[in-house]
Amino acid sequence: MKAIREAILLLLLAVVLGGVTRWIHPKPVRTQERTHDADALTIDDVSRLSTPIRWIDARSKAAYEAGHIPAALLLNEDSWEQLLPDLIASYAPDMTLIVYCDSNQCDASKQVARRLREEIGLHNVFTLEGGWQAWKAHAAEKR
Amino acid sequence: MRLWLSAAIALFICMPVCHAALMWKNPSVDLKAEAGASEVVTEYAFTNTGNASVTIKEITTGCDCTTPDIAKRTFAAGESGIVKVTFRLGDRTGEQRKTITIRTDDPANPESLLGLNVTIPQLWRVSPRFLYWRQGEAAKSQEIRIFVAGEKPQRLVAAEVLEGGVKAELREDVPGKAYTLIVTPAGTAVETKAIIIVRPEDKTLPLVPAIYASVIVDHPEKSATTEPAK
Repeated sequence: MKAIREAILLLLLAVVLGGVTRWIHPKPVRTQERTHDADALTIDDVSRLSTPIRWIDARSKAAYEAGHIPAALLLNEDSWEQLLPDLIASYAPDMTLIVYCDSNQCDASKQVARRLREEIGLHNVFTLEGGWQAWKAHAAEKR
Repeated sequence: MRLWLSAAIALFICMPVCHAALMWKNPSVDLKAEAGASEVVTEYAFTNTGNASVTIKEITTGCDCTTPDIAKRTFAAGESGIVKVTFRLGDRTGEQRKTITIRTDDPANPESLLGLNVTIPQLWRVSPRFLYWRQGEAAKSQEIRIFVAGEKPQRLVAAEVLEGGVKAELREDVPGKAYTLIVTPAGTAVETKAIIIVRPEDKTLPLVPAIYASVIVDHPEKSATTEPAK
């Protein structure tokens, strides 16, 4: 009985000390939260599309050269002006453009998609949920 | 039994007290890039305000364009450090928001998110940069708005069409500040891929970003390279 009483007292002491610690060392601030992209399509969404698709790889040239979705065009903001003419030359109005980067952790696809809409004036521009990693996993499942 | 119970309680007490915590001096940085700069570099200073050492296990960024650098990984209690971040600007424009994620072995605060907000000045704002007509549709004029985004007015004087097929006329709406480019195709019977270059009066300034105008003809082989992934 005495041991239980001591345990309760020590627990209360721990709670008090924990509170003091939290007061001295408040949790570091989380400055920015990731946001969900409302224009993102999943691989399943893409497979249900009936329009022709133009895949656009928004990663670095090195990442693109290491592997990309078949027939994808490289278009990133590192070399936007140099790469843009290839997309313009092959553009068809009934195409759906799907931009991807490495995974959900990158924002390059969102940036490229935004510029295609706002700056170039294209419609039917989406991003791929999960990016290149999701596409690779999907391709591996199909094998 | 009492000994074990006391030891467990002592450990329980120690858990919140004996901890590590990275406190960031300025976890969100706002910068304005210099005109013509190729990169911006910033530093995030931190201190381990806990009373146990902390190890930074991983630093990830949301963009290939952002490269983090840190001199060492483990920081003793009370020790300070710096994460240096280089942001390669490339052809980026306007407001850029990048995130750097720091993962540590501190179970209480395993992840810190740092923000890097960079404004890349734009001299010209063009919208849209691409006009097209489908084969056979009426060859009606379309318009492009060009704004001088800098504070100082800049006169645009000429619109030059490369590779032909369209006519481009530049109209000054607000002197030195706002222009309209009126583009008219010669016809829509044949495929056209024109590039329009708009030149500022001040030849030392960069050109307005290239403008594209096409008459698009549907080619069977065009869709052959863009099949949906099944």
